[in-house]
Amino acid sequence: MFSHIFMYNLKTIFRNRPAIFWTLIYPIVLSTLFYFAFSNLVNAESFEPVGIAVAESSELAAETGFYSALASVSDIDGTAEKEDIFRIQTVSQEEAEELLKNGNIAAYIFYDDGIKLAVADSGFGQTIAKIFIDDYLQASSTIHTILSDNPQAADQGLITDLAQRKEYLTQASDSASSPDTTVIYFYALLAMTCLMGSTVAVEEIIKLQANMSPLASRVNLVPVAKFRVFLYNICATILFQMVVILLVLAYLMFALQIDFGAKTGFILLTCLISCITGVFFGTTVSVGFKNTGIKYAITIGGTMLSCFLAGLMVVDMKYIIQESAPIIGYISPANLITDAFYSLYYYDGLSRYFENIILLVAYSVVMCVVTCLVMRRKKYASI
Amino acid sequence: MEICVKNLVKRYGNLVALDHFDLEINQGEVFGLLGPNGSGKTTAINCILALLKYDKGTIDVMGKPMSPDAYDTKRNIGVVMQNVAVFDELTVRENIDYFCGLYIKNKKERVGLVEEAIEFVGLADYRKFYPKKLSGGLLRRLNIACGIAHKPKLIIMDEPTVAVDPQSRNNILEGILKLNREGATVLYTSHYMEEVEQICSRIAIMDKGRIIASGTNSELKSLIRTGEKISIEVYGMDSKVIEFFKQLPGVNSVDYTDNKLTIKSQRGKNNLVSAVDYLKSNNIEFSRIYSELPTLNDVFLEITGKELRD
Ligand SMILES: Nc1ncnc2c1ncn2[C@@H]1O[C@H](COP(=O)(O)OP(=O)(O)O)[C@@H](O)[C@H]1O
Ligand SMILES: [Mg+2]
Repeated sequence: MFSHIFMYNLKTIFRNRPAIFWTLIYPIVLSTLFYFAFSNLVNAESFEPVGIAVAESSELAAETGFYSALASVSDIDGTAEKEDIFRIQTVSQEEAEELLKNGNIAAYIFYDDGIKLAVADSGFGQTIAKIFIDDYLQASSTIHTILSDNPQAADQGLITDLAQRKEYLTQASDSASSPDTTVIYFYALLAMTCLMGSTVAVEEIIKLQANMSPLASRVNLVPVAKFRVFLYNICATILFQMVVILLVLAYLMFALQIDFGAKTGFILLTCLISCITGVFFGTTVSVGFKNTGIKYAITIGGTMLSCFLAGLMVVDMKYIIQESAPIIGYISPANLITDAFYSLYYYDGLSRYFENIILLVAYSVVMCVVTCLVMRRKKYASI
Repeated sequence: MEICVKNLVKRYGNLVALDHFDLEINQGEVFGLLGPNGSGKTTAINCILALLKYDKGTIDVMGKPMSPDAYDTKRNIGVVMQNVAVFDELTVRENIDYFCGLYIKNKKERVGLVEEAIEFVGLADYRKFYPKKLSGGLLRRLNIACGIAHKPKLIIMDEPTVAVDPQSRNNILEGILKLNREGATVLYTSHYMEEVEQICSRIAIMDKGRIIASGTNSELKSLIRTGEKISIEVYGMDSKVIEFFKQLPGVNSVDYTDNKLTIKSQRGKNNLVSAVDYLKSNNIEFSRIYSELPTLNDVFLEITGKELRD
C-alpha cells in the first residue's frame, strides 16, 4: 500500500506544472539573474579593502607571526593588491578608539592579555576582521599545543595543513567581500527553494480534506485511514522537494560555480531539514484556510517575505534584522536556514549551526502537530 | 438491508437540508432517489457515507452503523460523486488503477479489474489520455470507472449523468443495470424522472429534505388521482368547450395553454374517443392528439403543487 500511494503521489507531483515552476524553475531563473547581476557588480566596483587599525603596544609587536599573517592579506604600502583584505593604520589606542567611533575604520586590533578585536557594530568588514583573528588564534594555539605534546607532528604535515587552512581563510575572507556578499544571496535563494515546497504541500492537503475538493471526498471514502494516505503523500512530497533542491544546488555549484564550502554533508542535512520545515509550513497554512487563493498567497508570499528578511533581495537586510529585530531572525525560517548555511561556511564550530537546525526542527514538529490536530476531524459540518 | 437511514436531520445553519429523512434499500435493488435540484439528495448521500456531520438520526450500512473508519464496510462500497473527482495529472488508466489499488491489494487481480472497468465504460481508446483532454461525457465515464472498478457490493451514484450527451447517458444507464445483474445493489440519484423510471426497481421522491413518496414506479403512480392524460393541439377555442370537457365523466382537470388542451382523468376512465367526437362534431380544428399515462412528474406535481423541473 505504501509504494502504491507513494509512487502515484510522486507521479502527480512531478507532473504538476505550477509545482515544478515554483519549486524548480523559479529559483533557477532567479539564481541566473542574480549571477549575472553580481558578476557585473563585481567587475564594476572591485573590492575595497576593509579599513582597520592596530593599536600599538609592545606586546602586540612581539606577536611577529600575527603581524606577518596580517601583512600578507593587507595593504600596508598604499598600493592595493587584488588579494588585500585589510587596509591597516598603526596608531595609538586612543586614536584607534576615535577612528572607530567616527566610523573611519571597521575595527581595531589591540592587546589585552591576548590579541583582541574591538568593533563598533556588525557588518562585513567587522565579520571579516573577526574571522581573521579567530582563525589566527585557533591556528596558532593548535600549533603550540600540538608541538609541545607531540614534536613529531611538525613532520606529519600538520603545519602545512594549518598553513593551507590559512590559505583557505584568505580565500574565504577574500570572497567574503566580493563574491562573498553574493553567497548570502544564494543562501537565501536556497532557503527559498526549500520553503517553496510549501506550495506543493498546500496541494496535498486540498487532496485530502473532504471539504476542500471532490477528489478529497473520494479519498475519504476509501478503506485506508486518511492519516496513512497523508503520511505516504508527505513522504513523496519531501522526496520531490529534495530532488528539486539537489537540482538547484547542482545548478548553483556546477553551472554558476558558487562555492558553498566543503561541508557537503551538513549542507544536505540543512536542505533536508529546511525542506521538511517548508512542507509542514504548507500543510499548516492549507489546513488553516479554506480559500485556495489565500493558501497560495500565504505560502508563496510568506516564503518570499521570509527570504527577503534573510537577505534575498537586499543583502544588508540580514544585518538590519540582526541589529534591530533579532527576534525575527529566530522566527523567520529563511533566516534560520541562511544562518545555518552561513555558519557552516564561516565557523569551524557547529554550535551556531545546530542552534539554527534545532529551531527549524522544533518549528517543523509544531507545524506537523497542528496539521495533524486539524486533520483529525473526520466528518465535516459542510462540504 | 444494505442501507437503513432513520430520522436523519441535517441543518446548514438555519436551512434544514434533511428533515426527518428515512431510507431503506434492500439487497439487489436499483433504488432511485428522485428530487429537484436542492432537494437534499447529495446531502443525504454525504451523510450516509459519513462525510458530513448530522444533527439527528441513525445510519446503518450493510447492517453496521456507518462511521469514517468503518473500513470493512467502505471496502464494499463504490461511490460515484456528483462532481468529477479524478487526478488531472494521472491518465485514465492511472486514475482507475490508483483508486482500485486502494481497495484491492493483489496486483494481478487489480490489473484485470482495471482493464474490465476501462472496457465497461468504453474508454479503451483513451487509456493514455489525461482528464483535461476528455469531453464532458467521457470524463463522467472515467469518474464512474474510478468508483466501481473494485466491484463493490453497494454502488452509490449521485447524478452521474448530469451534463452528459445522450449517447454516453444511455451507455451509463445500461452499465448500471449490468452491474446490478452482476449482483450489486445500487442507490441512484437524479433529477431526471425518465432515467429513474427507466432503470430503478424502487423509487423515492424527495422534496425539501423529505421523502414525499416511495414505492415501485406503478405504486407511485397509483398514489395520485390522474390515470390518463389527453393532450390535443387545438387552435382557437372558447370557454364553452372547456366547460364541456370538464363535465366528461371522471375528469379531474382541464387546462388550455399555448394551443394545447390537457385533460386529466381518473384511473379507469377513458375519454379520448368522446373528446375527439366532440371536437369533430363542433368543427373545431385540431392537429396532434395523444393520450399518455401519468409520469413521475405528475406524481410530484400532485403532491407538491409544482413541477419536478422548474
Ligand atoms: N455546504 C453547504 N452549505 C450550506 N447549504 C448547503 C450546502 N450544501 C448544500 N446546501 C443546501 O442544502 C440543500 C440541499 O442541497 P443538496 O443536497 O446539494 O441538493 P441536491 O443534491 O438534491 O441538489 C440546498 O438548499 C442547498 O442549497
Ligand atoms: Mg446534488
